[in-house]
Amino acid sequence: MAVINQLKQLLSETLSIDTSDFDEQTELLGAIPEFDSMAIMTLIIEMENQFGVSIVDDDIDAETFATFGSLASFISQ
Amino acid sequence: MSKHQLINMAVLCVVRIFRCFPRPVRRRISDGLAIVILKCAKKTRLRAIQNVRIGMPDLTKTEVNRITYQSYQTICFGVIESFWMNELPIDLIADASTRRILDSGQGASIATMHMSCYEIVSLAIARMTGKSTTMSNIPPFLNAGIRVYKEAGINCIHKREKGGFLKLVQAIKQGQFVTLHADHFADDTELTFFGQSTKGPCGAAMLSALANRPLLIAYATLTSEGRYQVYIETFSETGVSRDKSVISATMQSVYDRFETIILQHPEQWYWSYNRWRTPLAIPQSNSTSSEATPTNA
Repeated sequence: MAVINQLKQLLSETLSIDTSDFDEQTELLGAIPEFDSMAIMTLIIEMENQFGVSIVDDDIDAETFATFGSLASFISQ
Repeated sequence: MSKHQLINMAVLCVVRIFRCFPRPVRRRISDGLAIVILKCAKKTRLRAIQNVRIGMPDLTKTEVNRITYQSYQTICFGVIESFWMNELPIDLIADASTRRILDSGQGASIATMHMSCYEIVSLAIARMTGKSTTMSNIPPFLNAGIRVYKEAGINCIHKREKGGFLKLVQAIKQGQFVTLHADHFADDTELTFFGQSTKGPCGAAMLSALANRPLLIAYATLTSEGRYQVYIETFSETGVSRDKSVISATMQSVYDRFETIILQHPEQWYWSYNRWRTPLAIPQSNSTSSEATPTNA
């Protein structure tokens, strides 16, 4: 739950949008106009810093960023 | 017939008409059209003049006009020649370390500019490596435009395609050399360009950072003999760090290099583009006397 809330906060700060209603099914890539290349870059950097994960090349694909659920699942692994 | 089909047919007709003539004649027709377009399109003309003055404030009015018209002619010809890209004569110029990167098959991110024929860098990469990818804004209905990429062996991802940027990252990982235009206005980062505060894209640097691949700079010029010279330089052999401040600083350095290149080849860059988003200064008095068409145009 902590990861979920932290990720919501991170997305809210990165995209400057309200993420309080985000759930597993909430679509990100292609659905939110603010979710552009710069946002993806910022997210990756911040996720590496805040969650202590190392996001390697293979992880950077559309599936990882498709929904809030897929992104949260990726961080939790 | 829909509007899109009509546009497609119109483009195909224009292309076919041009292809009826030998290349030197196409150039003369294109140059003439460019003059007519620029003389009729007042805002475009004034913007180009304004931008040339931003870039080269010490030029005389005559020199400003000359560069304005010659660059527009070069760009127009380049746009027209895009439709038979795979036939264009290219000379690729790169140093040994850059050629090593191109020969490595590992892929790289390439930042380019709108000079001469816009996609000539992607074409040169396709010919040399067989692994060229770029991003385009050509409307999906414009089959004539999309087909030229396929015929030239260039993989093209549409700018509006869902997950398009991530597809570029994947492409580099698969050994593709991804060419992105980096000299246009964008909201990614603030930077200084010809002494003016503006904003620009970070795509090329971000791709290098995310894919952990080298960052190259490339540009093309059209010679008086009608050949395209494509210059490719290594900007960062080890790739850009995953740090926003480093990415922004890298793009500023890229733009510093762009400035030098543009000043070396001012007749080749797309000055009429609204690069700085500055208000257009419309002369109050009759200024046509100071905008004489260069006699050699």
